[in-house]
Amino acid sequence: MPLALAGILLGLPILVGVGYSVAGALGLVGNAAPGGLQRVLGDTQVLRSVVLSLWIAMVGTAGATIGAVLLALAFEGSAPLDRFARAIGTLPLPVPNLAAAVAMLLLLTQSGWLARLAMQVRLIASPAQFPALVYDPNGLGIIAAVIWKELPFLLLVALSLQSLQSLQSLRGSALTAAARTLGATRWQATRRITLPLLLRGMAPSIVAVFVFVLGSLELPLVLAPSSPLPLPLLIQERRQALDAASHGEAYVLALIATGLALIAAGMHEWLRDDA
Amino acid sequence: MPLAKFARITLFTALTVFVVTPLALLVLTSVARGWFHPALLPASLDASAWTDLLTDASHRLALRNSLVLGSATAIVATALALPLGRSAAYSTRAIRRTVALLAFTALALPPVALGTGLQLTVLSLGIGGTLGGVFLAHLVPALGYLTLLFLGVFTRWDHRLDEVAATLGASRAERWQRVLLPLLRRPIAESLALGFLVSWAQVALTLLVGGGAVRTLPLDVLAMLQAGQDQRAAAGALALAIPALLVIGAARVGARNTAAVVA
Repeated sequence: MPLALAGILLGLPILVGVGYSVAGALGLVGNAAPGGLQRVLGDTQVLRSVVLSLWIAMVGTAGATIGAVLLALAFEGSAPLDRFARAIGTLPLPVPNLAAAVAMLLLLTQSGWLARLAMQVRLIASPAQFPALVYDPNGLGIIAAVIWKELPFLLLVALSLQSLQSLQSLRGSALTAAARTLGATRWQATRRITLPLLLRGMAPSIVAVFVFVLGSLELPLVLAPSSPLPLPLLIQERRQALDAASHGEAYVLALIATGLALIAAGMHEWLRDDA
Repeated sequence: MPLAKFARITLFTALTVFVVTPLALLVLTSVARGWFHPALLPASLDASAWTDLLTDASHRLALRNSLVLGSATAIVATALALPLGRSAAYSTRAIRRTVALLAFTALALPPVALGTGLQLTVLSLGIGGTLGGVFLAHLVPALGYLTLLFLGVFTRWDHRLDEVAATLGASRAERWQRVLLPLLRRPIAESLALGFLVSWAQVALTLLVGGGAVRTLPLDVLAMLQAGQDQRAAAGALALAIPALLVIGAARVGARNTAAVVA
């Protein structure tokens, strides 16, 4: 019964979504011209798009993970500073991606607030001297937005793992205490015990963040360079183009993006051991 | 000052600046009039962007569409995900994992890729560019999230309460009404909130399946941004965050009340 229900409610839309992309890529449905597959695979622009998207997702996720772990370790106590830091660290959680993108745009463009501040303190003399963080080919503006948006989520995950471990007190804290008794320094105990346990517990969430960032349209839509376009934007652009050849390519690109997401989804399931 | 304390205070300051600056900038921009380069602060303030958002007829239509889509997605996705999550949680491990994988895939698929396929489906159903078509598209990721939510809830569920009620002679309907639903009040509230938010913040699926004919608040924010109307875009962006803030606040109050009832 649950499988049938899941198949209809979840499997069908996925199948339809992917199926139409396959059919579209082969030129069987829609007004797409065939031959999209060959054109896409031979297109260096596509390769650059894929690389840029993977780069943004990787660096953004890594940055958010490092920040979250650092904060979770530094502010795990019950002092007012700890509690305040945890509250501020999770503040951007309810802010939608699009709103985060708008905020980063206002902050980071060459006429944005940060550039104005740099001019006021005479770090730069003209807007052009401010580094191009938005619309830049390395996606730095998007990466900043990703870290701002995803750090709170990963921090929340890290904090809940910590409180779970100290509640159960069988893994983290007992092991740490044992290591300290055996002569490990505090840093050694953190590096060899707390950190690996924390990262192992966070692993499914880290993969989830990676895959969401990879597929997200909102941040690139506001902050991405026009060349190379991140993969979701490239799909969107080809889809909206007026010629049939581009439509065929959009389906092929959608399949590539789907493939990447499916690999990540498989990894997420494999890393989860609580089901 | 000891080094550790100094490091903690430095980290705290850096965190605060990093988190608060973009938000403060959004708030300030939304009420700033004539704020030009290179001024660090606006010359004067006005609330016109906010009043426009609420009074302008086209914005009101977008706002209404967003609210209708969000509410419909929340209710329908919750009604479908609850029984699905429940039956999956009571099945074998293999079925549980398959359902979880399907649910995660539904929300992991890039919305642009999913939308490209759904667009053709919706068009062939004859509801392309309609609110109904966009609603069906929003339902897909929402169902993914909510199925995972209820799968988690029922995997940790204490079956004994239900069994005791059955032993004492309660019928199926009575058990739902007297035992399950009161205990499920909080997860259902969370599910409705999450379902609403998934639809409320959706851009890609609305854009592709709506084909530009269905206007929502996020699409309006994008349009204002592209038109260079920073003040209005900032107000719109903040408006996008308001329901999420309300929901989190309500969830906290709800949790407190539920705790009081159960205790």
